[in-house]
Amino acid sequence: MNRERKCLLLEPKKTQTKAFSNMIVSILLLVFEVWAWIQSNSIKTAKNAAVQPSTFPRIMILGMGIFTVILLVQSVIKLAGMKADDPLAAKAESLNFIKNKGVLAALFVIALCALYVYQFKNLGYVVVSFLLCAIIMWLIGLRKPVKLILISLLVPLGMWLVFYKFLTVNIPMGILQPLRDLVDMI
Amino acid sequence: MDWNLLFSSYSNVFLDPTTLLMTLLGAAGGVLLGAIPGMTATMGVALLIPFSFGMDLIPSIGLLLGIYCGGMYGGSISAILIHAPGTPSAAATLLDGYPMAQKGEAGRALSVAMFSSFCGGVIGALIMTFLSPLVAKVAMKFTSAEMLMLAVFGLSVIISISGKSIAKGLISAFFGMLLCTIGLDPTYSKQRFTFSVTSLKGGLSFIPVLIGLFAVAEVIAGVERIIDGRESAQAKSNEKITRVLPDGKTIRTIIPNIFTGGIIGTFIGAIPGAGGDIAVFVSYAFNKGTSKHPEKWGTGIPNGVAATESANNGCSGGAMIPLLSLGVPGDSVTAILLGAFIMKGIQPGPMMYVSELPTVYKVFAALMLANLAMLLVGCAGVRIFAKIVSLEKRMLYPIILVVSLLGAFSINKNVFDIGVCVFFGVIGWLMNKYEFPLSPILLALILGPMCEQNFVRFMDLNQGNFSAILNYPIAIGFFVVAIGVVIFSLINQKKINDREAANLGSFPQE
Amino acid sequence: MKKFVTILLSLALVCSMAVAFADYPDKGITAINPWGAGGGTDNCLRAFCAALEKQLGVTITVDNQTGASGVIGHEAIADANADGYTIGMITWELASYKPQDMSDYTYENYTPLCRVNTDAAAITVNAAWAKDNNVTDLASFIAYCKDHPGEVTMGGSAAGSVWHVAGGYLMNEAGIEIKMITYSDGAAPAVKAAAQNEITGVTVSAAEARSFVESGDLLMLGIMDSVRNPIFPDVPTCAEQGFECYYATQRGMALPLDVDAAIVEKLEAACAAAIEDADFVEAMANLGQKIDFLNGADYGAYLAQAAVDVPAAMVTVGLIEE
Repeated sequence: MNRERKCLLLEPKKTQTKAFSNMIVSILLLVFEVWAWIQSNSIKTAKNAAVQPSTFPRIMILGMGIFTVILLVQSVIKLAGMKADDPLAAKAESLNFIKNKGVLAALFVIALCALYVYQFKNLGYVVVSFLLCAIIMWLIGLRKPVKLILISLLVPLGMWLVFYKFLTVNIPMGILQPLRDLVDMI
Repeated sequence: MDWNLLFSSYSNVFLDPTTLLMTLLGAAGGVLLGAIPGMTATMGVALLIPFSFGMDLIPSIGLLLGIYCGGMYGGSISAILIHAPGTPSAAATLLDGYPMAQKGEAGRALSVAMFSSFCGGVIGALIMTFLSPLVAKVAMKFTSAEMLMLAVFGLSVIISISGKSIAKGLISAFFGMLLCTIGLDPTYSKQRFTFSVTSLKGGLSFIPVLIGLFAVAEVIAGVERIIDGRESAQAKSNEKITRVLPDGKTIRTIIPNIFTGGIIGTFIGAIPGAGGDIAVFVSYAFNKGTSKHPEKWGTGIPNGVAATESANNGCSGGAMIPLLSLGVPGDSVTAILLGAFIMKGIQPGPMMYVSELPTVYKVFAALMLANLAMLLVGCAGVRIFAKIVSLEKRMLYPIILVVSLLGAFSINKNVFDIGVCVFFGVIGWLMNKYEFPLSPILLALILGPMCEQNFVRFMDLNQGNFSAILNYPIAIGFFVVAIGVVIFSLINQKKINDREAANLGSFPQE
Repeated sequence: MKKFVTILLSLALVCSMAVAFADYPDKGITAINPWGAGGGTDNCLRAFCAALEKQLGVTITVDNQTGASGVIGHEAIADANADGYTIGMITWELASYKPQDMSDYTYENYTPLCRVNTDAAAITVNAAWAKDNNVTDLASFIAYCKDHPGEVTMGGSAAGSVWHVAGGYLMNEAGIEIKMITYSDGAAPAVKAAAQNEITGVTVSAAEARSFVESGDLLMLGIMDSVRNPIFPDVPTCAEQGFECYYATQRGMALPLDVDAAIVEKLEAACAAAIEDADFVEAMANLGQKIDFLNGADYGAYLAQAAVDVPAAMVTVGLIEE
């Protein structure tokens, strides 16, 4: 345990430390803040207003900016005089999806979710949810086809029935629309 | 205080079988609805209003209050079990509730939540019964200036929920406040950051953002952990639930949290425009600040659950005060309740305590009954709900995902909201990775609109002269307290960091 | 399992095809509500749909498609399949979208079926302020406003909402200048602020100001309606006080364009009958909402007039430029 800890603290290069990732994040945030400020210029002004519609958002952007600069300065100072036992010298989380399979899987799930949103209206809730549910279950290691298909089918179907029948929430059914007409008849 | 009338109203309500049945039904429905992410108590109350058309006033109010109280507790169930707050008021419950469930104490967390909800609700109902006219008078003192400073006071607790890096916490908070400005500005209806997207013109919906930041982000991170081998896909909770109520020792440690939480919840709930979502964070921060071991908060201790759950149910009692005595609803549920009263030919307002006193007392009794009903339903449900986490992670994560995304959709029936939910899922995942705290965004989303609206209105009324705020002593009081809270939390955070550093130092000697 | 699903699906498919060829209406109708469950519009629409169900003999499901200040739902009604199986409730706000660049849709994108309800604005002021400044009726209020331009502050719920624009309408009609203050959480906080004397008065509906008027904190000067409000039989209308102005929020039923004429006719007849339904009348009385029926053609003309009046009032309150 002891040795493992020491390795964790000493091994990472400066570019892999939390302090370094903080620096990168704060630079990216500054870019975002500048962009947001430019966007706030396009907000229309109101006549005779005590406070313009753009004032409040700008105060918030400014506030964000001030603390981003503080974070940037903090991390630069830490980086300059890095001590091994500093909590910020620990290895930061990585986003490298080539080396890191976990990140790749996470990005894959995000991409699936994006497709889910894209196809939600066309295919309907039950179908897209079935696909999403089944693929992720397979991905994270459920390899019993019957169980997998049953769960991914019954959960969305059950949710839909509860929402539609008892809560009168209308959910797009897409290609399964006839099912709704069937339930209507019962 | 008319004791005879109070007594007769209570016995009238508690001995009427229809009222008992309806309240119980309402509580059961409320707990279930609250537990589904995206289904709020508001929606439950709205859905059942048509059914209450044919009923007498008191049974229908019992039904609606049952849903209200049940929903307040129900929201904590999904917050604790699947990291998705079922209602905004449960948003702070997951700070300690979810870590408890991760430690295999899901059943214990649920029972603490239930017990604290009940106690908080009773505190609220008692304050409402005995102090209503007084509290209403205070509520009438709140104008834009006081509301602005109340919001500032609410924001001051951000430091206390920021975690290790205060700079990161404040960046999150300002980012959250910036998100609230998307849509039409509250005074001149000018579009801000809408990028010509119709769905953005009304602003971001709160619930999809909430579900995204917490539930979806947790699923993405969970998949990552499983593939990385940091978490077992077959992991599941094996907790044996031997009792539905917390044991004596736990109750003794959480009693102070429940008490303060209930009182904070009631008073914040009593201010129109401020509701349970604010109260829970204030109560959490207050209880964390006064705790002997602030460093343990957020790691899964029952005190954290107790402080928040007692506050949001205390709020239900508080919110009824301005509803009955001023005719001004304290939150969205009471807004619908207001409609229900009017439908029965009763106009809540200043005259209600004069002309409808027996009804007022019956509403007090019905609220008390609703809390009892919630406790009953909760006791029956703890074992069943806790079963959810006995599912293996490789089944649980995908199920959470499809249920959460449906919740995000159903709030507005808008596919765009699912997109918002996924987007904030990614943001939440990244923020967790790079140790930006999520709770400040949430608090900012709740308080941002309140802050801006009251600020602009105040400036409008005072011709842009901000120094006029000096004429409002209550507002100044809030501001001073807010400064005090900031200083106190800074000192407290330093203490926490020092203690953790000390722990770290002693670590290699093990 | 798979076989079972296939059978189920084909069965459903056959059923739905049979439905499509039968006489209208032969399956459930969806009624889109651009506003949230439990609100005023929702209560009105659900009560009306219950009455309409009796006329048409099929279930009508209310579908709350909310968001973007009602734009989402209004657009969904216009964009729905023009088969008569999707209807919707359109509200006052429709007239305010285009001028504010919120949506390209106007009343011209709908087939109006009937107007169901209107609620008139009332001019209500703080009673103590009125006493101090000798304001007793509408005439003295307008005179005061003329003497003190821009000093009187009136609240009217959220920015761009019907009661906010009501203030602009009042200014245009009376030739006065008042300052409109917005309360994003709706009418109740504005009414409370008026009772607290944070603002001078409110331009919300009579029912919404009721509780503080009854307690004596507020004084209702006039109602912008053609008849008196049954809740306040003693409060005169504006017209009675020699000031002709009418302003109300409205709700009505509408279809997308290009629906088969026979279906429109059938629905119009059903709406006209449903409005007389005893249960509906009672429900509306309980809700404190006024039934104010107009048939499809008249409703269309009313909407066209609103599309002129509303933007003019919006210019006055500073929501849009000319």
